[in-house]
Amino acid sequence: MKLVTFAHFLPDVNGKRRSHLLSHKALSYYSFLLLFLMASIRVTAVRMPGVLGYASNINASDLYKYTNEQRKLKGLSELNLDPDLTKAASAKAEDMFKNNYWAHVSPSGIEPWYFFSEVNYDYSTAGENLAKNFNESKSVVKAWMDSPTHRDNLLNPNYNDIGFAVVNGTLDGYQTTLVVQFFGKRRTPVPVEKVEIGGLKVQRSDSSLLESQIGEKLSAVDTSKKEEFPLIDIYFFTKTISLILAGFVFALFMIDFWYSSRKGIVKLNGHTLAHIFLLMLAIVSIGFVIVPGRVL
Amino acid sequence: MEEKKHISHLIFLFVGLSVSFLFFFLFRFNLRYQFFSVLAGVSYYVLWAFVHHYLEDRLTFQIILEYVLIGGIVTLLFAMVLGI
Repeated sequence: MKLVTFAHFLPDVNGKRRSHLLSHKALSYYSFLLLFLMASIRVTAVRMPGVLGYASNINASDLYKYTNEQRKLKGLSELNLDPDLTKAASAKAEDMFKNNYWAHVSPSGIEPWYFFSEVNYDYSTAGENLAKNFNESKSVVKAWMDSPTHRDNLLNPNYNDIGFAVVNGTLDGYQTTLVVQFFGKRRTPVPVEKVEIGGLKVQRSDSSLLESQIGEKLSAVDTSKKEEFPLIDIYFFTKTISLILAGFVFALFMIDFWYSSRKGIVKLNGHTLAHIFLLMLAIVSIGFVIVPGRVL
Repeated sequence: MEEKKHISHLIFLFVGLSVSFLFFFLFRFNLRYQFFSVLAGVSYYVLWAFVHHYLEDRLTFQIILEYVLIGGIVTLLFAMVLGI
């Protein structure tokens, strides 16, 4: 068995070829390695649900605070945290985990408004923002603000009320945190009393819950009070592997470029600078641009 | 003259890939569009290789295979991190 030696990293002066580690055969091996890793991740997610996942430290209080901060910046009124909407959002999140989907409309055709009616929230206007795989509350609100349709919801002056659900569970075999944000305005304003719970302005109708019960409801949907860590953080794992492999191939091409220039080797192959540039962009993109969080 | 032509070809590649990087950044919360940006960038890179090596009279199967393999690796790297 031949071991990898220093010579394997250098271009072949006599054959005028790339190094062994950049040969077509070697590049094919790297591709197969990646395919194998991807297949292993899929199999692990299916066979051992919850082992892979996304670390999360999101909480509804922060989401509420950041949402209202954004509205205040635009000169809009603050939204009241409505216990009914919070209950509806929680039911939507539970439904997504139960039926393994992440969408505004469930596979069986249930629309978000169904959850509003289930809690007797008679709305004149309503909206829904979803998020998953984020690890911080601030990133969730930032992502919504960066997306025109979600921003329109968040900054809609017609809404009076808001409800959040931050629920941890397993979706598609990955442990994750789903965030549901419901907006609404009641068709018939009900007599309300605003109470403060943990710095949150909570709206309470005459017939709704007692203060302590509202607190319990908020705790029930805000499961992220404790930080969630899956056994393997899939984002960190895949990002690390990708950066190592991309960095390795990038370094090989840099060596090839430097050594060939130094020795004046003219090889009949692709343009080394083109490969270097593509790999450099890939490293920057994977390292700094890709975020695990998704909004819908 | 040859050197200038060579540099202009490289500039075409850098601009094209930079545009795909820009779209990749803009769609950072949309998995599907982000992956489309990667596919567009890699396709442009292979297409550029065809044109560049054809114009330089060095177009061979081995050379194009090298671009396809590297483009494939880059696509797989993104697919893995994006969870495609």
